[in-house]
Amino acid sequence: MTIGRNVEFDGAAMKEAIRRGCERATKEHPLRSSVVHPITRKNDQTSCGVGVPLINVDFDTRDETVEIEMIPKGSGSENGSFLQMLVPADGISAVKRFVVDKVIECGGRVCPPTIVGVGIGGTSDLCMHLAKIAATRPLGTTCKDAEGAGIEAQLSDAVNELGIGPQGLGGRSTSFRVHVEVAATHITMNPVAVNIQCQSARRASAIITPGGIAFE
Amino acid sequence: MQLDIKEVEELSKTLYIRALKLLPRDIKQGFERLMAQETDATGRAVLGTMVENIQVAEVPRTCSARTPAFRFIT
Repeated sequence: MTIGRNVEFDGAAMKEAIRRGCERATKEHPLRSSVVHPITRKNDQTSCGVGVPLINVDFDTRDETVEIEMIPKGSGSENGSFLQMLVPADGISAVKRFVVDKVIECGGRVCPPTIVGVGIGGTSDLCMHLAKIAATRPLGTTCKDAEGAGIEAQLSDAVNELGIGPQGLGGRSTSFRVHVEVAATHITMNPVAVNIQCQSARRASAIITPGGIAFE
Repeated sequence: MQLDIKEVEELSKTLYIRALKLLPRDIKQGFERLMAQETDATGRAVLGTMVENIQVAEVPRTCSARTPAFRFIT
């Protein structure tokens, strides 16, 4: 959720409402519930559980707007997730090599053509969060950081030269695009994270304003 | 603006269903670009099957019919 200025809300009630919406969609539509307890593997048939749905709340400067983006993540878009805490001496070349190596390692298991989300910098948790923002950013958008945008272009060309192709059956269409997001990091760190979004790219968003709801 | 919690719940339900059933427009356009660029015969055939699968899956039926009566902005 991204909440703009001049919006009054009950944060706890808002989070409960989002959870209820997911539960109702699963039961009433109905949809398959794919969420289980990580140890018992018990499925409550609600698509919800301990700590799920994960709700990220951020704020921006738009007046009287609330944007909600729903991004269901299954194994095709989560099992291709990797974090490496490189050191500065490894350089940016090690960051690029890590990304290409992971695309090769995943092959067809992440349902190409994919969007390869890459996080560079930050802390370990922020780095993976950046990779997910990158993986779910719409095609046609570019990293706002000039250095990051350059790496996006280089890696996009590189991964489509690997010959993995759609569904891993061969060809040049391994990825729609590599997306990069960056954040400042510590002087002794050089973290990189990868989150590969499968071709289904499941996401939907809408903006609430005083005039109504607009779906994107 | 006072955020209507009931509206948030209904919208969350709708977005969850839309996210699972409708492929984003930018991804469909991405498939078109890949089809135009793919030089490998197998790659083109697989992309063609995937595009057909998307078209079949999105034949209008339950999703739009079950969308609640929001005040849509057109």
